[in-house]
Amino acid sequence: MPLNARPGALVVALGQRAAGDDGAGLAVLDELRRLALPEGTELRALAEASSLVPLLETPRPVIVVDAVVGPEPGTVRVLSPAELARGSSLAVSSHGISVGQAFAMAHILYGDALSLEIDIVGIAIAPPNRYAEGISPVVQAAVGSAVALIIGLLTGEGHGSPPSLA
Amino acid sequence: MPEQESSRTLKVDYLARVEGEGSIFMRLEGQQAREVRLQIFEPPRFFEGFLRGRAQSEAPDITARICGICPVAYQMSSSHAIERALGVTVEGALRKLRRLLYAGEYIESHALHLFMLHAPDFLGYEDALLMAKDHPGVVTRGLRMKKIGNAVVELLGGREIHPINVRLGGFYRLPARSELETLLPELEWGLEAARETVSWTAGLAYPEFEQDYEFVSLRHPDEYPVNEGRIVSNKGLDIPVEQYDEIFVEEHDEHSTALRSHIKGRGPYLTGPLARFNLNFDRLRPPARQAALSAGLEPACRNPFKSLIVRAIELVQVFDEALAIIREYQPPPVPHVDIPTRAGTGHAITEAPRGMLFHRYTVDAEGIIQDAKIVAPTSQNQRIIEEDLRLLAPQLAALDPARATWLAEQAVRNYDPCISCSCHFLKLDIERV
Repeated sequence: MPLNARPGALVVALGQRAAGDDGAGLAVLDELRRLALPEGTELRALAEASSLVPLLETPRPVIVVDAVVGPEPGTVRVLSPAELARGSSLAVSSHGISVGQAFAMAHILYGDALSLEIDIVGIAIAPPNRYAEGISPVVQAAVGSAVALIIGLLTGEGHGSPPSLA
Repeated sequence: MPEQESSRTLKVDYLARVEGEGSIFMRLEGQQAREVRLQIFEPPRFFEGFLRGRAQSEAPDITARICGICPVAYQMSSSHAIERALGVTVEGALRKLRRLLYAGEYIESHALHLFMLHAPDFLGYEDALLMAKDHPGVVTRGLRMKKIGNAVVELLGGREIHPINVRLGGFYRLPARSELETLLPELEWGLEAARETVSWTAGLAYPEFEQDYEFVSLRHPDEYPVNEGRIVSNKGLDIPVEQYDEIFVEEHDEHSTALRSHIKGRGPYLTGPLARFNLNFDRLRPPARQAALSAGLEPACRNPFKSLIVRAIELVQVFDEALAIIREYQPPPVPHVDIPTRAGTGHAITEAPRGMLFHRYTVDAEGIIQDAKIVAPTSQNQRIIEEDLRLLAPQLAALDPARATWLAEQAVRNYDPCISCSCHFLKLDIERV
């Protein structure tokens, strides 16, 4: 097993299927469920980020896949928690917390007990402005790249930028 | 007194920890508030217009999209209103499952507001992240409670946000008893944690502030109000929900894209946890009532800042009730009662976490919605929020700008406003002249 593999990883998809492209991470999870993944890999789906916080208190590697609003919908990027937190307001709204805030919160709460390997696979989407089941064709086209990227992270093989990376 | 001592301008551009977009403008002359405006400028969302021409069966799903934190409230108010138009009553285990689903939403909403949004005000932190460094136990308790609420809503509603398992007459799918029982251990933890939260919140320091509110809430003959009851107040109001339009008025002001409510001939009123508590203390379940008494809180509590404690008491209430419903649960024979089509008009109010949520629908003989009216709790509380700020003026005038801003924001957060529900975000401008 390559040294940079992530055995026993927890892969968490965030999003809502009812909010169009916000469901991009869930579409990736659907694809991953059809594949033979490295032993011990666990797949989880979450609707909102506050539930992510306690999951980050783990010795396991964690890969979070989520839709991120970006200028080039359909591109896929691997982000660090710090990168995500930089773009995130600290002001929690009355309706929940952002993924960046969830990482910042987990870092404060768990310190050394926080997973040492956290990757965020972000699929760029346009600002969601519709309530509709299903993701747009341009985001659907990026699902394969995100899956390949996650497989690469899990196995330590082929880790790198897929063709569609921004 | 020199001009600069009698007048000051305080401007805050952004009020965090609420939902939606808006601002507050205050002009103070000395210790008097000459002008207070809760300015809501988020565009109207026209949900009532969307509903016209849609099938009555779509109302619970369409209205659930109005709000990400209280979709169950919209589903319950719309379902009850249309069921009343059709002469349908939902009883027994189905009715209890609705209360259980609503309990899940209360847990989600109250835990998020109490621990993450409002507690930082009382502990002197700008936000929950800064508070978490010194009070990690408070934040982890809140997150765990919220997760329990999410689990209840997901199990009964089909998903955590914008549930899809609610329909007119009941549910699409009923949970098995064994499924509900999986929730028991965490709900038992939650009940104890909620009791501890009541004690903890009761020990915090609260600003000295009261006013002679008209508290308005539902009141049910036997239960702490959730889905049914008469509209009552501490100033003599006692009417059926069908008379809502005769007593309550919604008006537009130039500075707000949301409607603002008042009682005809009387003025603003307060809806929400403090009103429910004051008007229904005797309907609390014994553990919640005991928790309140242990905390030294009983009606009439007229300090809106103590809504923090009341939300903790309501957490005891809903955790305890959720446990009871699950322990007594016997699956009903059918997941929903039959829904006819016939022309009619129905009204309903249910108690959303933030207060009364009014829905009225007129449907035709083909089951098509001809007219709809929705009044969210934040619309009803807008004027009383302004009144609180106006009466806080002497305290605000005596404080330095930073402290004055803090107190004003804290006062707004007493109401956990969902500006997007009433259609709206807050920014605070205080001008002292």
